[in-house]
Amino acid sequence: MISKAVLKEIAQIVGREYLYTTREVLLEYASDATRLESMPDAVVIPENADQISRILQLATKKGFPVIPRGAGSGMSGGAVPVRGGLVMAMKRFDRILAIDRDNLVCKVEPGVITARLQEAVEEVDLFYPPDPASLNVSTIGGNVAECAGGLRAVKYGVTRDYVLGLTVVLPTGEIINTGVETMKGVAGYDLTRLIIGSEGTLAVITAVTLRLVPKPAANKTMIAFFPDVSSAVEVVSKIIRNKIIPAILEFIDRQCLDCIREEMDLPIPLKAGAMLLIEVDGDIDLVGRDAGKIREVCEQGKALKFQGAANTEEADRLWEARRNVSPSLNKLRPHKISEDIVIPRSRLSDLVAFLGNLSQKYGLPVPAFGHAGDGNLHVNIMLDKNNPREVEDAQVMVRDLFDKVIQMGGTLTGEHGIGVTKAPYLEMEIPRAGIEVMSRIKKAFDPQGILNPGKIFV
Amino acid sequence: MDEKIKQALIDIVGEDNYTDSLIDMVSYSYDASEYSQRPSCAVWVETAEHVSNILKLANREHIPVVPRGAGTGLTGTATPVRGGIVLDLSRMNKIIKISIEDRLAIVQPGVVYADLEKALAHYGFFFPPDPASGTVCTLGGNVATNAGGVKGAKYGTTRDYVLGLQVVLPDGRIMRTGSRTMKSVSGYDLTKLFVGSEGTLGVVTEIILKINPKTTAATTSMATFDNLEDAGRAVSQIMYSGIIPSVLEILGRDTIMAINQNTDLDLPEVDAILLAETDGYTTGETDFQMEKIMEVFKKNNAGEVKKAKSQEEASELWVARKSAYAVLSRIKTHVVLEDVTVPMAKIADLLKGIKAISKKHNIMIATYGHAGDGNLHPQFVYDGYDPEQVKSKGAASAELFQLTVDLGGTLTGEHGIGLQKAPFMTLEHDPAAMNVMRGIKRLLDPNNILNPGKMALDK
Repeated sequence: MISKAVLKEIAQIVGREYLYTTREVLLEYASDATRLESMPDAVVIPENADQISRILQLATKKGFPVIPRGAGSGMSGGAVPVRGGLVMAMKRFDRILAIDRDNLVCKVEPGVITARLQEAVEEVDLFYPPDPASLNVSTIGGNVAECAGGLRAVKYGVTRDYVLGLTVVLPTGEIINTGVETMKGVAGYDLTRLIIGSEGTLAVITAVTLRLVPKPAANKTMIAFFPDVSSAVEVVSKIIRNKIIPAILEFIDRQCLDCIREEMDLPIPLKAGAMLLIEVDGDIDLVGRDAGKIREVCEQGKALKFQGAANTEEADRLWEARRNVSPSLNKLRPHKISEDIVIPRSRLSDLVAFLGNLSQKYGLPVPAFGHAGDGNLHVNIMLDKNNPREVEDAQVMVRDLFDKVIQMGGTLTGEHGIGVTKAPYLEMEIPRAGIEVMSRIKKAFDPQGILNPGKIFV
Repeated sequence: MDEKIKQALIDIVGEDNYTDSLIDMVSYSYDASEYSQRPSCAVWVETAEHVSNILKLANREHIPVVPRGAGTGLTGTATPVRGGIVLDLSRMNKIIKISIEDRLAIVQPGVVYADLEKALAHYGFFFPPDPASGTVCTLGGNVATNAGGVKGAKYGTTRDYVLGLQVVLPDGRIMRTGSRTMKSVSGYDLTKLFVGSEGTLGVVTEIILKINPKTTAATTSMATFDNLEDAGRAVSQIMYSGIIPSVLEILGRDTIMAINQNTDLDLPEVDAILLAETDGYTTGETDFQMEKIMEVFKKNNAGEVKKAKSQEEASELWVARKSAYAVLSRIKTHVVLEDVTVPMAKIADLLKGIKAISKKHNIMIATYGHAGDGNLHPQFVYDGYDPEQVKSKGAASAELFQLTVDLGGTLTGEHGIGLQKAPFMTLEHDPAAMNVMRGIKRLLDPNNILNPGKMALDK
């Protein structure tokens, strides 16, 4: 609980109109995309780094939790105030400070919405590639805190690969700049990348310098259906072996296809056991060459059907398949536990086979789709949360899944983060020495443990 | 070396893997920088367990340990300034696995860059950072210094390819970071914390690297500029045009003259030459990209713009570029190669500033480097036996660092801080950031045994 006197001090720092304690507002900030819920004591909407610095100093002195928050679109509970405390909403940090065409960089505040930044840079023919599914609502600050990925990661990498430097406020109130505004730099430890993906547990981000790339001149979208997973995976490997790294290389399994079949204009072959959605981009000549080669590989590789989009409208229709997957899975069961595992790509067939067995063993559907190009698969364990047995089984299934993933040399999360939902499993992946080093780093940054407590480590 | 400790080291690595002979100690006293200091002994380690046992011993006895790859570092990172044990990793040189399906290679730290390059070429793949010392430098050293090279503008640096590590911590514990996957956000990014930490936080004993398909065609061109601004503007316009050249290098006037004195290339003696390479899978594609770049050259008042007509002509140009360090080294007794990096559009300002500093201190500073990512290598050429010149060199480099930071740049793009730039760390990093770095060093290495004296971390 934060005392009245402390709340008064916070109100003095930010102005009374930016501190909220009413139940309606607190409810609004109690949850994120996980729908986990825990009430904060108060919500503050600071205006500048100096205010944040003073609030964090106060928090360190008085020992109350501070939970930085972007759009609350996180998938692992990163923004849920599990220990109560003060939610720090970064809404007012919503300015694009500079887009520097000559240097291919931009500087933004953390509350800028990802899609808005993309539009702004595309207006000057530049490109910010990371494209998390929630980009229409998610913020750059949240993307940095979680190291968000997206469909284009196979070619373009994830948020981490675009952040050059940060301004952050440490839990002790100090404001520091990390990294560079240049294309490269190796002066000192890489604090920038330490803070990226730290899920708001090390520092509060107040400005982000991002690297941009020129906008690709052309792209082409293709779709291919295969009788089974292994022939689709073989095609993925062959594409890479042909030295093509597509911008997007998405995979959808049979169960997902069955869920979207009725909603699609595009007929899905009844025998289809897997679908690939592929997009190549770049120079016009290059796109033509790559698309031709991919068609060849698909056709040689047992594709039941292959279709290339001739224009944007057609491409959009092909995209519908991928976009419809997530919402239509609820036909199988009302609720889902969505995991975000990554495995070495060569293990993709094995993993999908394992999911089939897992589903059969427990009698719950486990549809999977995701980024075949980088081995990041979204595995959905479908259940009815009102059925206690299914809830219990689903938990066992999650552990079985993680066991398998680690055994395959994989990781628990490719882009969603550990947060609350995966914290109990972190030890399955990170050896004790690693966790201990991380905890010591946490302690060095945040001796009182005020920043986003209850996340990553349990 | 204390006899008891010597025996303990021999017990760990074996008689053949231990040396304290004078000739070896002299060899291990320096790297490619201007510093030198003899260690007490050196050991060749063969396994992570060797490293672990040595670090346990050193941590208990508070003996400095300096990890060393090929000793090609330019900032003194491998120089044992406080003596102690040199940990030579060059015998851990196995390529453990290459998996094209998973797009990765797993290697030991002592593998030479060029050896991995050869092994990957067989599959049509490569590991892009391409440091200038690629024929001798080791991958462990590349990771420790986050090495870059001429292809940085398009392909990034070592950091962008390290997926995971096996690291031995200063207390001897062996730890794995990262995974064999293309992406991961499980916990803090310890992998990237170790990359570029210059052997001060842990000893890397295994590396998982992402690899790239290798292109099969390239086109090379050059353009001359009588005016630095024009060359600078051409660089930003190229990077913005949508074509990212695989290489975009700049040579300044002094560098061009030195090359001419030592080769038959007869380069035009102008203020700046830009050298560009585009890569791809067909010459149609790489020529098309190069046409666009040459248009930008012309638009920005280039004097001569020339496309290499043959492979030979292209490689002559690259040989010229790569000879810069060597030909400049012949002029006087000493050289120091700097590694400053500025935002791309500030390259002209940096070059002009360097010219002014050179004039003011009456010292030769020849410049060349990776224009495409703003990373320039001003090379100080001076007589190190002349105290006057040594003083000028010191004053001039301090001014260069200040200028770089004023232009929004960084002291080092790819060489690291080591000893050479340690006194200037606070120019770039504010005291709070320095405290965070020192805090991290202390919590991993409380007895300061790993590569002490580097990066301004001792305090």
